[in-house]
Amino acid sequence: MPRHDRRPGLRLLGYVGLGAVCALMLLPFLYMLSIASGTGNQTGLLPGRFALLGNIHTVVTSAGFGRFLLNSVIMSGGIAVLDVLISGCAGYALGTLQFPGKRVLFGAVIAILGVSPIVVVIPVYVMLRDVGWLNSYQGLIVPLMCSAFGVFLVRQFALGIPGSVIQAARLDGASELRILAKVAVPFLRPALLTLLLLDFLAQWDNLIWPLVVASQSSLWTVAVGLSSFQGEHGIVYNLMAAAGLVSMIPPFLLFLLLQRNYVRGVTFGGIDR
Amino acid sequence: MAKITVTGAAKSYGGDTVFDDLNLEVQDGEFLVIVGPSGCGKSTLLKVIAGVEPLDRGQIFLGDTEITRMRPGDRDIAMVFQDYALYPNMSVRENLAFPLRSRRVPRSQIAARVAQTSALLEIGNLLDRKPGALSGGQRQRVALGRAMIRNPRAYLMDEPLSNLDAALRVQMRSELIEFHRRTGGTVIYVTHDQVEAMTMGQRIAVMRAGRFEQIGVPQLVYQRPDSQFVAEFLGSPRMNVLACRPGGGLPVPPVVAPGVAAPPAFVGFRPEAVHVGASGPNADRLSLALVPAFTEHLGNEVIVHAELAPEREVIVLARMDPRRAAELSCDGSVVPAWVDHVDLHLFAEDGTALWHGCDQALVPDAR
Repeated sequence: MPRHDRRPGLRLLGYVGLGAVCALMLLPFLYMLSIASGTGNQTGLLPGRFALLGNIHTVVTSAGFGRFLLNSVIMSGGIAVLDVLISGCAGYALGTLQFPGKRVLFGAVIAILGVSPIVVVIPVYVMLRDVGWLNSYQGLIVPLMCSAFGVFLVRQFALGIPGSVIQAARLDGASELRILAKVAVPFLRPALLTLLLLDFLAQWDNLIWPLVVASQSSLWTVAVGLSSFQGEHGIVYNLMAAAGLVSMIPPFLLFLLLQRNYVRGVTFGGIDR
Repeated sequence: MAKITVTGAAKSYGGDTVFDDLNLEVQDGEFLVIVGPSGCGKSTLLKVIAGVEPLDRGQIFLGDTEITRMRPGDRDIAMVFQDYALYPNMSVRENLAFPLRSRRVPRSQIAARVAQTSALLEIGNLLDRKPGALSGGQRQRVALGRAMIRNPRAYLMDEPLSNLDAALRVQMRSELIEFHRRTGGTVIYVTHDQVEAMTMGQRIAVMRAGRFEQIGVPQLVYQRPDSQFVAEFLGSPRMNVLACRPGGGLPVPPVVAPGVAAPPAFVGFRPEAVHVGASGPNADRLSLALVPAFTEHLGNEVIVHAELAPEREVIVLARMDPRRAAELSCDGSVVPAWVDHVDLHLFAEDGTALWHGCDQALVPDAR
């Protein structure tokens, strides 16, 4: 956006346009809020009676919902943390170290970026069945704990670390692990936190994988559990919407916490030297 | 402290050879400056000695120890980088302590050495700042401090002053000389700035396309350059080098003929050797007819850019006293000038030096 726009008309048009986009995006959310505030299966745009808190109370105290939330936190958090560790190391290595086969490995990572996750669901399912990991946390987490996107993101950031700083650390006698922890991680922090956030948000919404791996409801995540509000209680739209609302809170809080890094991460900025 | 020896060193990136069969010996406690145009391989040589780039062939010794395959941290060599390479997330104190922490020096000793080093470099008041909050000169001192805090056996410096402004560069130049005097360390200092090379080095090594053209004491390299490249690279403004082939070019004064083995192709003389005025009937002088084009006033001196008459295709630079230059007019008229034969240098077709006029001024035994 130009910093000095001398035509106020154009500026106004910009605000109107952006406002329209915002409204369009907010509409489904507001609709959900409206349904969650209603009673029974009322699905009109405005609730007849305001029962939001009651509905939330019903959801939170209902059987299994707390468990779904916990499972979601374990799965999304576990994947996010492991991906940051593994992709962080891999991306750092691809971005800064010299070793044979580096280009081929990076090519493979890029190639994997092009593979749709849904394609590998069946083979991975079969593998998990063979090692007996169906209906387990490791089954939920391990197949997703490293992402080509994460490796790519961190590698792009690692390319921006000045070679002289890493060389200086080597001359100063630091081990490679110490260089990674003390010198590289501060440079990579925006990328790592961005990866953490993106992973957590993506896995929180992941419906397919927990649905495939976990047939027992004790391992269901919120995404799976939400759809269960249809089955167990008939189609209870107001409770389902209230549950959806509650399930938005953890990722929202995390986003608030990491938002600044997220913006820096996706704009590929470095840290000031 | 220790001497550094490089023998038969070869390094290439992909198919590009940076240097091949390079040899260098730096004495214990010596300040050697490697100078050369960008891309000549001088920084790569430093990185190879430091161990941050592997050597393809050849050997490197520090004192009597071979360090060719040693990890950089085990070589006991410190390096100061052009961009200082400070750790931006750490305070000055942590930057200074990093090499000691990495070597597991006891905590109490670290504190003492940080205090001692920072006092020496007068950065004691900056210890809690991050590098981002320091000026260029302060960063430079922190980088020096981080290098010297672990008492390495040798220092490598890769254009450490090139990111500073002119005034600070002059100041840091003398501070680095003082630093060397105090530590007595062996220093290899890389620069493309020939003023730094001339003023700082006990010896200078002029590098070109992966080879050393000449290694020697600065004054001697300046006065008796081994090649046309060295002659033109050192000195600002650069040496005038003009064609003097028989049947074209300048007539060389007959006095030089006996000392020259091969027929010279080029004659060289420095701008300060050009005297404006009629040479008179002196056969030992090189006479020039100049057409002054424009002058650069530097305050204490004037650089005259003149075309060589009659073709007026070659530019000759002359360094003049401002008072004398004021009489000069740039209206296209021809001005006579001369160069004494002791200020002349003769070069062969391939650029090798054949004859230096300054040798004539010396007593033969003193050569």
